[in-house]
Amino acid sequence: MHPESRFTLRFVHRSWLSGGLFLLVGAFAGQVCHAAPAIGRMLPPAGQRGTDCEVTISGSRLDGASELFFEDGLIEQVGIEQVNAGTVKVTLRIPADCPLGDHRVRVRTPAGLSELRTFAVISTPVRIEAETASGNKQRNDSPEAAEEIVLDGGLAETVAGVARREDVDTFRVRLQAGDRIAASLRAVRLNHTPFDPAVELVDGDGFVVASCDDHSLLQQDAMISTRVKEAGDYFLRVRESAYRGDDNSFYLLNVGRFPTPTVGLPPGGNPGEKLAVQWLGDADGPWSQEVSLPEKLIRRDAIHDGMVAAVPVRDGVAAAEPVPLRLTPLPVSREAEPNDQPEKCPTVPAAAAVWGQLQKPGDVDWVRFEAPKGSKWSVRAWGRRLGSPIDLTLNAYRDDAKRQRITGNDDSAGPDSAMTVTVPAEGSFLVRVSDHQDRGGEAFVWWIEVAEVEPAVHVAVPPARTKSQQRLIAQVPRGNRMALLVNASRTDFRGDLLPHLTGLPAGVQVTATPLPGNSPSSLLVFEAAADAPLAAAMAAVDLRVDDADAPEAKAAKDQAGEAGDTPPRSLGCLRQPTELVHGNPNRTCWRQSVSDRLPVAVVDQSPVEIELVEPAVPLVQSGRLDLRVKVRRAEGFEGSIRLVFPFRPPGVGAASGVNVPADASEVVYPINANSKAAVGSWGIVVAATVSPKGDLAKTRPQIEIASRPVSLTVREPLLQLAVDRAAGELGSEILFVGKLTEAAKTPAKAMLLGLPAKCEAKEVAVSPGDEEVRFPVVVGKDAPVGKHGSVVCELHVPQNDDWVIHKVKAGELRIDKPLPVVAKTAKPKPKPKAAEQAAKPKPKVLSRRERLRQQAQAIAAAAADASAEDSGGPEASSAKE
Amino acid sequence: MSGSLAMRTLKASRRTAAGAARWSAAMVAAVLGCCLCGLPAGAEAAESPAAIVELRVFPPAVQLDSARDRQRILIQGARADGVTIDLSAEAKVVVGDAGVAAIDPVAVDAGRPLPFVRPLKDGETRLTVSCRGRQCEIPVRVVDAKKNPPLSFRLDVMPVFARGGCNMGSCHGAARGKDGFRLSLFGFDPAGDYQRITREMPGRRIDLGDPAGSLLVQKAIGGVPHTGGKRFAIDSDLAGTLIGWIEAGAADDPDGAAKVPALTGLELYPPESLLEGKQATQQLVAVASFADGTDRDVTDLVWYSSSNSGSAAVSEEGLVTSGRRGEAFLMARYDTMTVGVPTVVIPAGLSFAFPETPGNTWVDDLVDAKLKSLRITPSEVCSDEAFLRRVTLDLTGLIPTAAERDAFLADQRGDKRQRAIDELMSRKEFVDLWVMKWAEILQIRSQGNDVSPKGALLYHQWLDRRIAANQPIDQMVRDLLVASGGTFDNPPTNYFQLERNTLKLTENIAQAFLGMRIQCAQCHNHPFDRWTMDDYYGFAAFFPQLRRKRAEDPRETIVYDSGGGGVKHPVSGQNVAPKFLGGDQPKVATENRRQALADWVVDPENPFFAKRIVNLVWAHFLGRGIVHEPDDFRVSNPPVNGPLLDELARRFVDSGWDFRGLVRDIVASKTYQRSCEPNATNRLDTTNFSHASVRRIRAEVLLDVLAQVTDTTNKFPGLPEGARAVQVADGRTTTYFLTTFGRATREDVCSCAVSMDPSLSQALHLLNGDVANDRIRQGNLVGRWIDEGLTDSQIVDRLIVRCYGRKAREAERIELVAELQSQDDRKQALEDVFWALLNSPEFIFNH
Repeated sequence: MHPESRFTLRFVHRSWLSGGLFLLVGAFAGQVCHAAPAIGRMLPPAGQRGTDCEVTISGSRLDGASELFFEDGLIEQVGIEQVNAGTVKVTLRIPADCPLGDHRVRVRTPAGLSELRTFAVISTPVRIEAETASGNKQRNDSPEAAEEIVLDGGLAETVAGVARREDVDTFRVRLQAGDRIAASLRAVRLNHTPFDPAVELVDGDGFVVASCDDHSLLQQDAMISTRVKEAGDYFLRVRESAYRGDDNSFYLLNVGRFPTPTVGLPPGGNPGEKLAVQWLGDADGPWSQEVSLPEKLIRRDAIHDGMVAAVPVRDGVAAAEPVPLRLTPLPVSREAEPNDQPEKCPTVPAAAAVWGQLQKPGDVDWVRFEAPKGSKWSVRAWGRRLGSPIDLTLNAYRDDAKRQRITGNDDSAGPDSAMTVTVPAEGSFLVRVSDHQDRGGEAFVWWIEVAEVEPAVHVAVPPARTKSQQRLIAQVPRGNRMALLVNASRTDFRGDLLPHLTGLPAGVQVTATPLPGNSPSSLLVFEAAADAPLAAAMAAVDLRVDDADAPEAKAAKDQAGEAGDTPPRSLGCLRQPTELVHGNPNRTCWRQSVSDRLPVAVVDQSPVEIELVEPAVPLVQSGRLDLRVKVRRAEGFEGSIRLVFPFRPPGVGAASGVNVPADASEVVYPINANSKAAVGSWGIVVAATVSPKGDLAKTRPQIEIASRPVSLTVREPLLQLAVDRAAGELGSEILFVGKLTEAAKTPAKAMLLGLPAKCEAKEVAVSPGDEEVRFPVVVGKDAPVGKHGSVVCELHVPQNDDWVIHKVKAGELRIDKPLPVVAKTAKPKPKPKAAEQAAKPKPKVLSRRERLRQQAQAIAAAAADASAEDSGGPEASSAKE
Repeated sequence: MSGSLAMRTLKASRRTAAGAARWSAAMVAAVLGCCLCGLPAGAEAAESPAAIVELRVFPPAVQLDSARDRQRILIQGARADGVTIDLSAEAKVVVGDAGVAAIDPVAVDAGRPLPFVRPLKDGETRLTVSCRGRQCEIPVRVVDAKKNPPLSFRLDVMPVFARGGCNMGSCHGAARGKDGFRLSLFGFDPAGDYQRITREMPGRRIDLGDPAGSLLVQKAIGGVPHTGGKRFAIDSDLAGTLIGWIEAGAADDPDGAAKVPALTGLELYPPESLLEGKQATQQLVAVASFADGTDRDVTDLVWYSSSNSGSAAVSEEGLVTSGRRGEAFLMARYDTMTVGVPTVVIPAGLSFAFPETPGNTWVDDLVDAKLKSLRITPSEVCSDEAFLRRVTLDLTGLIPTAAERDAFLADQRGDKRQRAIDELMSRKEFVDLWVMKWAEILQIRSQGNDVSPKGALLYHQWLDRRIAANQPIDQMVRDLLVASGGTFDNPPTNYFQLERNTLKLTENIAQAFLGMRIQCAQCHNHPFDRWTMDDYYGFAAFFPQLRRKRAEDPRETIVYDSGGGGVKHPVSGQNVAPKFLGGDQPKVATENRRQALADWVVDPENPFFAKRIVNLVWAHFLGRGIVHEPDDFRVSNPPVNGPLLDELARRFVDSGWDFRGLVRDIVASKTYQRSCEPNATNRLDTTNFSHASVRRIRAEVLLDVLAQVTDTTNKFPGLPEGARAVQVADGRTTTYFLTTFGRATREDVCSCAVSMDPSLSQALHLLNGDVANDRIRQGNLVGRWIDEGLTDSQIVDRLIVRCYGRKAREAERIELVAELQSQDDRKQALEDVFWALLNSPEFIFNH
């Protein structure tokens, strides 16, 4: 299973579609600490390309906003007006060739960048719904109050509206008999709140002509197209699918006569290929179009799963929603029907891509792949990611008479499938493609690729808080530093890598700690010059293979000579998901955007600076170390500072955070290592979250800074000590004995920690040549009796005017109560004589039944004696069975 | 088809093995012969009221299968007025061939002397019964007259525990037994019982050396102290069976249950009785039939009970004694079967003449037939005003407007009621109302992460479209039961999300679509119905292959069948094969089990489904089901009018499951349109539809009607503004008003989840709460009318028509106007009148 969740994958696809014809929306990792400006709403959230448009942004901490920072840099800002602290008006110039779809955007102020939002570029003018524009006064909830939409040509009109709680927005369209009408809704793709829209077309009598809630191409968003039979007024109704919208539930309703295909056939091809694509799923049936695929598969394609978006055009009218196609370097072939039996299926040499259709319900397709015996292949399938309604299921079988199943998969790639197959002895294997619910039809298109498993690594910045954008991007205070942690996900590669960043803003430098094969993460420490301009830029992160010393690399370098500058080998890049919308259940991510670049911004100075003093001694395995952090505050600074230790080398632990006291200029940050901590030299930093008070807090409630990286050495213990268990009584002295594995070479000191109450042990000096350390423990008379397993021994070995601290768990300490004084025992009573015992008659043992019988007789006799009324039977006895 | 088999089983009719085929033919002949018994034997056809016009003899044929086999003969006479008389003691019974069988005149331990047939030698003969000048014959067949088979644990001993009451829930049948000894409840686990009697605490409970002294016997006869007291006498047949079985070695049946013929039928005679006056008696006779073709007189082995002891009490020996006027259903339980017969008691010397009923529909004919037997005269048909309010409320959940009322009253056409019904049924409100009713059965609601509000809404829309299109109900239910796929993509799959526990889902489906409450049989055989644990787990076995997986949308789930998995029987620990309730075991090795189930449920031959639906609809319009509650079909809860239920169901199926047609049949009947004013004969009748019942308007409709008459709108979360309460899609959506007035939360499939009972909190909420008062002010009808310049009298008229659907009576108007004129604030006073009307029973009830 891919490390990402299925939903992640799915929304990657969604964000991918936002590009125009074969244009990929770049975009990068987003992050923001909540100190930065925050966008509440953008109105309108879209603009027509080739025009200037005004966008009003309201939010918080927008003072001094200087730009609407489009990450791809394609949209120009021609004006900005600060209305008030919470509102900014921006005039944008959208080039005529700007790709359609989502563009990642943030607001930038001197305090930094806001969280990530998207701005849609569309080809039609955007009108704001009257109800929204009028502040909910001109309601359009009924056909009588419907807003007019005039259809003309292809894309006629786009309305930006809000579907509030229990709100149904109604738009009237006048249509002629046989007219085509299409409408697409962009809602979940537009918002930062979970807004799942639905659209209906109803006729004048209120009967639903067409409706859509979820669409196989657009997931939660909706799209309809139909031809009406009769002329008249028709009404488009837009609502949240369960009437649970809110004031932030924005939508873009695109109404026109555009085509609405769902999936292309073939659903992909090779780079540079001119592909005759048949578009499926439109109300007027399929049609063909020649599509030129991009010349090459670039890195940004790869992080978007090799998907490119094509805009189908029919009779000169472009579709409102692009359709994804898969770009692959592998040879592509089509399934050959009939292939619903393995005997008749096509044979394809791996590696290869094959596509086909499940043409009718219950249809299954088989493909035979030939590959060397024992080789390992990644088999991945695309269906839903291509806009097909299929719920793909893959199964691999041996290609022999028994057809034994090798492996299978249903949903590892979101609703699509992925598996790894090791080729059996036959030198081939069979793949069975089916729909999980045995559905089928024209649009049930599938695409599978069989490729060798190749090494790959991606890194991503983890958010400081899950399901948020907190601390996902670099915001570097002038003259200060900020640190980001990057986590690596590796496929079939365990070697060392070095992150390499390019495209930083002026005056910013970065120190990247290497990413060794044994570490899941690495640090990026950004430092801005004191005079660095306040600006933001998008940095690319490459993961270079750190094999300069490897013989192959040296040979290559020698061969290239002085002139031939061999570029370092890059094995991966940043693949940064930013979660944009969270919804039910459990705040699951509904929408995310993935980028291969990292926004880096230079922000105003920080009133606090921290310095991590490079430790003079190593941290030993099973040892501890106190890091010293110096804190410098600007004059008059008031506020709190909390230190964190963002990067922990493998096996190294640290407190989750340390608060700096208001009057302290130096604090200790304790770290420790377990017995398997990775030996080596590691770059570490201490980061701080500064929370100012007063005026500064209004614009910058929090500022993230970091120390310069310093080197931390982790090594094996200098001395090994084993402390045995010990026991003794209350009030006594107990001796713990520790044995050194080798004689001490230098003087050292040792001490016991974690002793129970009322027990004391003094520090013990260790002299060179000692092979044993003795710890006398004085046990108080009222010390707790029992076993105590928490005693620890620390061994401090001097080095560089400091101590290397080793920690050893001591053996168990047992404290006993003194044995009681034995009292004189009383004289035992003489036993009764045997004759007396024999005189007592032994009672006769009656059976249970006999006893009950006697009991019943006794009751009957008593009843007879009483000679009263008839009691009616031996009920109500207390005897129980 | 399985359904027909189920039908046969339901009626607990005899099934004969192949070897007894010839005999079954003889029995048919006997039944036919029995029909001729009404013929007088001589010329003196009695004319007196006490004269018998028909002589009935039960059982219709006698079969004696062993030397110790006996059969009681029950003789019942019917008078011309339908009253039946037990003539068993009076009649003369003669055996045709005295060598084959003999008559013992008096049963040893029965309450009444009954002719008793015992075998003498193998052969066939006839019994001739004659009494009060009438004569009748039944066949007698004797086989194995010299054989005395050993006592069987399952066939002979287990019934002793049942009849003795030993294995009742309050005694040793309790889950942990009683006083250290446990028996399976009502004997669902004979193998376990044998183990406990003979192997648990060896030597304690039975004593092979002293059979009569065995603790098992001694406890039962009260020979030793016993918490349960004396169950039967030492010289009774029951004790004799126990002792005889122990004497013979207390052996288990060879091969356990495998070779013991299964019980296939139980008949209780006479099939119906009409007793006149108090203290009239009628003996019951029960005959069990078995899979090997044998039968057995189990009159002294069954457990009798009466649904109405005040009218007809039944003794432990099966002697029925009449009491006050009324109906009773007399039941007998033997092994896994419970059967019942209806009995009617009428006062002695009643003078009754059923009125002429022109214009009856077939529904009315069937209802009247029952009323005739009860000597009840139905009420008159109600007035046009009452009809319009009632039918509008029942069909659309609204009150007729003044304009609708005027138009209806002015209409002089003879079929105007039929036209009004058709018009009301064409409205969307009719659909809304039935969507709500079905939403309760299908439990449409959101539920945590299993069913999102969107899922619930889509599910509701799916239902709405089907009801609106009048899709045949069988198709709708079939689509639901086989639904697979995403809960958004194919909304009926939400049904399987709302209950994910296989056993509870099984119970829900049985109750929702078959009207069966089979919950009891999860742990033991149903004590008052025919369902055994085998039936329960066999039915549950249709659903264990349901699986779920997460869909693309995080709120959506895909429901599908995995093709693997089973349900284990808790007694055997083995997987149970799917088996229809009371039906066949289908071959579903390769097909979807739910598909097989759905086909069976909606099969026209299915004995339960159509009846369940028609009963539901009937209960909506008449206030009470033909079976009450509408989803509690049970042997011990028979329909008050079986022929009516059967005919409604038959016609519903024949119409292609046309729901609107069914509604039309019911609403167009005079039975529905009767006045709620009772007459002298039907004043006490609450079950036979002899007059209309006064029903409190259900919560959703009442809120809508309040909004309607006050000209205000409702607002519910998750619905567009102005939506009506009956349109609420999500069962979790509610308001204080709806909760107080007993709206179903749809968490329980039971029809009892909807409370229709009036309560103090409802009255207080209407009186003091903000609903009535605020809405009156919000709608400002009175203010608008005052502005129009209407007089107090006109406004009072309008308010009364608006709330009651009738004109104000003169006395009411005069009194109200006089009161109004004494008030200073006219608007306030008029609004007070409005408020008072909204708080009156005439408004809150449908009548």
